[in-house]
Amino acid sequence: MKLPITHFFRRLALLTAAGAALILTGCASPGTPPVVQMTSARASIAQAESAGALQLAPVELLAARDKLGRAEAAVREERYVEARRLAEQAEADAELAERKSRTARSARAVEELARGNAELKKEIERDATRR
Amino acid sequence: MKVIHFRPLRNALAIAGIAALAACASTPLTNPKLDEARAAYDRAAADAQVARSAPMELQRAQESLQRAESALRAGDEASTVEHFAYLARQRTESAMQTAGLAKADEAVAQARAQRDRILIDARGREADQQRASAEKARTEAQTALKLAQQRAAAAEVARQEAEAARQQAISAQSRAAKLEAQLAEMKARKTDRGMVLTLGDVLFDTGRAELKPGAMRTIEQLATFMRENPERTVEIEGYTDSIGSDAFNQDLSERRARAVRTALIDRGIDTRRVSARGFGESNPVATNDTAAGRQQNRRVEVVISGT
Repeated sequence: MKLPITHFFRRLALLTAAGAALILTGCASPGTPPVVQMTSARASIAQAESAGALQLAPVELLAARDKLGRAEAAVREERYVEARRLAEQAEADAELAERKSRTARSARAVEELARGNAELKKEIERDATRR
Repeated sequence: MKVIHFRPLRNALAIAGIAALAACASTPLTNPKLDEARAAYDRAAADAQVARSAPMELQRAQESLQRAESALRAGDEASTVEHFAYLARQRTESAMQTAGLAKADEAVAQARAQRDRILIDARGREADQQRASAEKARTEAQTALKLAQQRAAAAEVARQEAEAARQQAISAQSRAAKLEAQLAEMKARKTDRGMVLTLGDVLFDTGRAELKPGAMRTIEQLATFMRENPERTVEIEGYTDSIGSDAFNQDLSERRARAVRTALIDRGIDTRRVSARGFGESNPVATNDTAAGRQQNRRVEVVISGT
């Protein structure tokens, strides 16, 4: 004989199941390691490094590396949801690191060119007055 | 260790159940991290440069933002919402960096263009200066040339003047030489009165004052000399020996002097250049005691002036 409270709990279980399903949305199968995301993260990190992120955007690059490491540990411990998220964040961090590096390099080039132009002008003035 | 996935799943379900319960009880409609992400995205999307240079990245940021918002509406765990909010933040920031890169690249191109302009400008000015100094050099060369030409002309004039002076000196010299030669030819002597030409007694018959033909050569020479030396004048002086009376001799000497004068005038010599005097027996040049001496005293002397 079912008590009304049991009925309530059954509905609750259904709701929680639905809720759980919602939470796990986007996960094709929560039981597989996020290979694609981790490969992508690794590639982005490599790109950022070759753009000089270690000098020009160290915070973002180190964050990316750290998260990738934690993702790999999570995979080993079969915490695949966590691993996937960490990998995605690592990729976003690495991408940001790469963009920041490229911008910083360009900004430096602008500075150098501006400095060069000023020196060039000075030299030309010097030559002109000498004559 | 490999276990059946039941346990973690059951744990997750339990947590989810509590969360759902909590969600049902009071669904939180805000998440501060999501708010930040949304604000950042809105700022970026409103920036024209970002929209222009990083549309794809903005799009990805928006997708993450939307997933975060639907997770929030669905009452999902905060960690889920914040995961997508974090992705949205990072991707928004990436879009802004890309826009900054585009701006920096533009600035690089402009700086390069400016450098080119500076160099072209400088080269232009250098070319101008070179032209100006070439022009200056040209005008200086012209002035120098003119000066040189003037100097050359002056030198030429000086040379010609010197040549003329030389020629004059030569002609004066040759005239002087010629004069000397003429006088020498006429056998003129130098005396304290000047050059003196002596016409001897043989030019006249005894006691007479007509010039004999033999005298003509000497007269011609004298006339030529006087023509060629127009500045000269002559004094013709007649002398006799002591034989005969003073009066007779005076008269004879006068007449003989005048005869020579007339001969010269007949040959075109101006009368004012020729004077004639008789000195009679006076001023003998030799003794009157010998025939030879007396012959010597019987003479006509032509004194040439200025020599």
